[in-house]
Amino acid sequence: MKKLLSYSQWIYIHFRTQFAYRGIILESVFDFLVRNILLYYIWKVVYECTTIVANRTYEQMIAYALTSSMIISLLSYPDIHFLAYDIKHGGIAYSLLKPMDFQLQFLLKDTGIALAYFIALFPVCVAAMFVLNTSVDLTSNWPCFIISLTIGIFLSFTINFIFGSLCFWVENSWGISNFRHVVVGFLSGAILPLDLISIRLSRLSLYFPFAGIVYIPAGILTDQFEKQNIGVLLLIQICWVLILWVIGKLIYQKVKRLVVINGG
Amino acid sequence: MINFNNVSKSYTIRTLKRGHLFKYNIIKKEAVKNLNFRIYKSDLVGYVGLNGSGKSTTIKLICGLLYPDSGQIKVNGQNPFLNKDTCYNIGAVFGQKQQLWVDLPVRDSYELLRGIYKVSKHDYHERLEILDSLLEISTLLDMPARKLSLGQRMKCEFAATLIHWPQILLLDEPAIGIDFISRKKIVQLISLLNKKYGKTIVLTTHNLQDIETLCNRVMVIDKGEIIYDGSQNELKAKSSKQSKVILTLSNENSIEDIYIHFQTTDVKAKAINGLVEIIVNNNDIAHVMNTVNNLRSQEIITKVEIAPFALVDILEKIYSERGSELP
Repeated sequence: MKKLLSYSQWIYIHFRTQFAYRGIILESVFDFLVRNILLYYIWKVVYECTTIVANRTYEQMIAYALTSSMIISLLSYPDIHFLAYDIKHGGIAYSLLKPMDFQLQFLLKDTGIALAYFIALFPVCVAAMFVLNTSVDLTSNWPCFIISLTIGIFLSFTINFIFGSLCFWVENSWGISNFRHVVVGFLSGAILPLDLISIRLSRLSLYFPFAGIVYIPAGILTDQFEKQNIGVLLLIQICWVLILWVIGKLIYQKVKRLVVINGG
Repeated sequence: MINFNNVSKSYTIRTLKRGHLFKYNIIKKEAVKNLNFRIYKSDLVGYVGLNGSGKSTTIKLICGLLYPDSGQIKVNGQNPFLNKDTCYNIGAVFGQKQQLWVDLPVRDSYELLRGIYKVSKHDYHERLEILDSLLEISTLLDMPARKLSLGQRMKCEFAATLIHWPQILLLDEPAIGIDFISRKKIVQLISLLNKKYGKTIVLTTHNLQDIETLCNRVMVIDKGEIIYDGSQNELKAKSSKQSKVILTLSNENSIEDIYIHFQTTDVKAKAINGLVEIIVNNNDIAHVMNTVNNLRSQEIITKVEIAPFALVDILEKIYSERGSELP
């Protein structure tokens, strides 16, 4: 019980850090709005020539764009960069000294931060869906969406931890962080729905971890999957979280022997 | 309590070769070599050495932050690197790093540490009271850590380390950037923690006055090797065959003339900040004092002082005898 309490405190303190400066949350809302205004006009032009793109109506595509933007905003905290910064400047010492698993610290920290963004962005996203009349059936889809979104967020953090652990080797995050952004951005369906690129790719990607971050949760909310398949998709997401958690743990066990705490 | 058995640790440093973009030099730096020591319960050990001599590496090895290349480390009978539970018994202050969450009030960080280390509310408040009585931190608790001055932050960092009241305290430059009054308070707190609460403390600092005030036992490290481990008094006694005579001159220009009188094979004199400092064997002191009194009667010297040997003098002598590069 005391352990759970300390975990929740860990989440809460990082949740609070996002409200310490007035700008952080407002900036994320502003960024979300600007990105979606751009996407709105892009898709508007595309749908002037056709009524269906990648099996989606105009309204469904706008709903997908809004949802994927929101998910990407929730995951926008540069955790790999800050981990590498702590490794480089020695601040990692205090994190490693705490009687809490380092991987868990990383995950709970990111959870607290994502929660802060979620509270700010979810109402804006829902309001935008109503304003743009996207006809998304929020009442029936949202419970599964929230579950899938939560698992997707954990999935992203486990991937980030693996990439972050590599910084113990290379002591720099620039290349690793960029690589992660390109891979996850493309293969998760954050930039475009995966079935827009290729139907085969979208089917195949469902069995890989990246689609579970954006494509599956956004697809669930925008009615892209058969209701009876949703359970299987959630199960695949959970399996990937567990697999990547174990992989992250194994990598960390290796790299923690390489820890060098610089500067006194 | 802390047991080091033949512990060595080296770092591999990659540096870009001069004039190349893709070729690197690999430098292997031995931070500590075959360290052997034991620190017992309630010891207060001053761990001293020059910059880069391996002090901080030793502290990090005790914490279990670094993995030794060879040898065995035990803290309370357990390997601190492999066993996370040792964290409950260890508290560390790294003067150049920070554990407080900079954006949040100090109190929030303390509350979180209380949760992580499973400290009861009663103990937490009791400890805060003790810490406040010595460090006067109560007015700082509601301030974001980033708004504190360096000295204020250091006091809060020190207090943060004591929230879980660890049995072993590893203090790596705990009073860095602190004003003289706060420094005195930190010294008092360290003494109290050791004497009243029986904490085992390893103190690393470049301020040797603090070590002289606090620590009976001194460990001296040079180039990764412990070159002295014993009582401070014993170390001083070894050097007690010599005395230090400090002369104040009436005219700083006469410094060179004075110098000539004392620069012999048995007597070493050097000018420091307008004063002349003479290191003399006790056998020769009568002869030196005769010369000094003679110069004093000529009003060339205005003041004579026979000073005790400070730890800093002894260490300077040890390091220069070993041929270490003094700063």
